Amino acid sequence: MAQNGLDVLLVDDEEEFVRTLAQRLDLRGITCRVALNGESGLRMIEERAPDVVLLDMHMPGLTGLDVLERIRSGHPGVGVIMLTGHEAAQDGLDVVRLGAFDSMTKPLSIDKLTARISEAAKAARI
Amino acid sequence: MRKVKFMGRMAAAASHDLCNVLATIQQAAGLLGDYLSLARRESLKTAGFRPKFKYHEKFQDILGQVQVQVDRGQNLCEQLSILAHSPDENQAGTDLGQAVGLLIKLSGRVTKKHHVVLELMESGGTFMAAAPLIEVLTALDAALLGVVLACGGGQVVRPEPDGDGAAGCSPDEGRIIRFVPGGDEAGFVNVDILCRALGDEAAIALADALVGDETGPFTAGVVRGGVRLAFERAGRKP
Repeated sequence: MAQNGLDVLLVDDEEEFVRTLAQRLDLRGITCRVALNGESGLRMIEERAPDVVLLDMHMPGLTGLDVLERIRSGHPGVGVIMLTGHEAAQDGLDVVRLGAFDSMTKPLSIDKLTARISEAAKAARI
Repeated sequence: MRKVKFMGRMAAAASHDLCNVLATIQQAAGLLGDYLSLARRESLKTAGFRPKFKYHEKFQDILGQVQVQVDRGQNLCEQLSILAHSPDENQAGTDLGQAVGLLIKLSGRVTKKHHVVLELMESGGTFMAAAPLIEVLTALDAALLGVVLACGGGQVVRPEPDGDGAAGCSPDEGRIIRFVPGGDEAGFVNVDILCRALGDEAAIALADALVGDETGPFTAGVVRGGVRLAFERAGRKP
């Protein structure tokens, strides 16, 4: 289902994964930009704030949580979906309490992801 | 314990990387599927002027198989991640049902090799042992391996009418190993590991062996048709 008009920034250091995912989202009408680390992700948000950021938790340099904190303080209108590992649940890490719209674990179902992106964008606009 | 924690950290890192590998395979296969669907739509739109891809269904089948394996890998990753975090210190107690479930999911190779089936029997309630998950898993795994070997180790178990605990059981029943979590009023929780092919003598020898060499946070005894591992209770939720 096309999600025309949505602008999403993917921030993940797994280049093959993130570029393939960007193509799949693009085929569904979602405009995607890709950042391979937290620093360039933040720069791209400054240039143009997306509707939603899909943000990996574990990255070298700025971690996903660092980036989440800065988005929350500087761009409260941007929805954030965190990509966490299974260990996050075991550690009792609640990223929603820290300001993310939701969290998802890899591997990702594209249908669930596009649905969550739409919901995150809608919630961010409110 | 330092070595166990090291192994846990390594396993956690490997599990995380494995999830990334699976995620990339999944999205690459998904992208292939997307283009396949796109080609099909374009072919339909041109009313056959652009012919349908000859191997469309074949490709769809193969992509479906990839997804099944990705799901299987994801499940393993999840269990591996729980196992990797089992040496963590901040555990109040271990849910015996969950520990057995984890052991069963991680024992696919053992069950395949020895042609046995593992079953968790729900007995109602949650039975919390006052022991870290790693200790509970170690005890359960030792008991499982003992039962598997005592039950024939891959041989077809033949019923013996005059034998001990194996009397009257069918070969298929002899291949089923059941885990039954439970508890008593005396402050202990336990897991019974039962197999119809396990004789009384073998059960006694196994229970002795389980507590023989090392001291752990459990005791081992014999119950009808198997062995019982008992742990001190950490608390019981109704």
